[in-house]
Amino acid sequence: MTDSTPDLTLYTIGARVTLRPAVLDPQGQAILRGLHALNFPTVEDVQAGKYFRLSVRAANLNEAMATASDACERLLANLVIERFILTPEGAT
Amino acid sequence: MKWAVIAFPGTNCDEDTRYLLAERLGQSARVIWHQETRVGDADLVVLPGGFAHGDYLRCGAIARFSPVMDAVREHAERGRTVLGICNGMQILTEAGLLPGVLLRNQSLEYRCHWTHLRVHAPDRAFLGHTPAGAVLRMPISHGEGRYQCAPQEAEAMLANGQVLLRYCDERGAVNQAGDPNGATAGIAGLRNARGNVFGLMPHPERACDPLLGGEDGLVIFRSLIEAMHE
Repeated sequence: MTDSTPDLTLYTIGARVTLRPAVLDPQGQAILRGLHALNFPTVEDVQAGKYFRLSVRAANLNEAMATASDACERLLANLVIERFILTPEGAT
Repeated sequence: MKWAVIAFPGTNCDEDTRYLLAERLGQSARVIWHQETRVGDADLVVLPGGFAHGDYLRCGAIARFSPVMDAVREHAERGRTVLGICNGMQILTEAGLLPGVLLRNQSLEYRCHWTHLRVHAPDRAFLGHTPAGAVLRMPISHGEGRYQCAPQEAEAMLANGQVLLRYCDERGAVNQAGDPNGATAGIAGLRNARGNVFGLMPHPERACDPLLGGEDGLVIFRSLIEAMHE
């Protein structure tokens, strides 16, 4: 047997990690000031965050999402101050 | 006393700390690489300053998974002393050994200067006989030192003696002028509820010699040595 995971699919999951609304985001505020200086007066708020693209091999999308969620909870986000949103972005 | 100073890839204050302990205070101190799985027979563990694992992801987030951290956690669970300085404090919060988290400075600037610290609560083990209200001078050197926790948690820790040091002005007033990073309640250093794990963002090991501008940091190391002898 050359492939030990023949029935598994490679799912791409996007994970967006942002600060919780109550947490001051000086980086986002600095970017907002920069946009205002560049004459983007209609931009009212900016939140800076992190984006991770996870390639997860799993039997189905639910399983891949569960793995990504676990990864966010245990490492990619610090839930004391951050929250995360997962988005399926494709499968191969 | 036997001290273990933990070094991760990117730690840069391990040798300063070892020098202080061994050469200046006559302690048995050795640097332990993060791949080791024991801290040996150390009485005290120090997580020194630096940029463990390049501060990737979040400060301290990757260091938490270094092999030596299981031994550090076990050391703490046995009630033994752990001291986290700067990056060491960031690692302790990420590892859940101290509450809260350290965030980017409000100013977005890397701050490297002397600060004044007000002793908020006396603590025999970490501050010896230094009374509440005393003002200590120690330097900071951090870009991510803004201590953050829920307001009610901060209130509880201010009341129960877990908050040991708060940023203040030179007269000892806790205010915005003395706060270099925008920390919740000006918190610069706190210990766990059990009282054996202490983390602080200022660098006491850089304030242990008049040549370096001050000696107020010595109180922490001397108190720990005295406490261990009792």
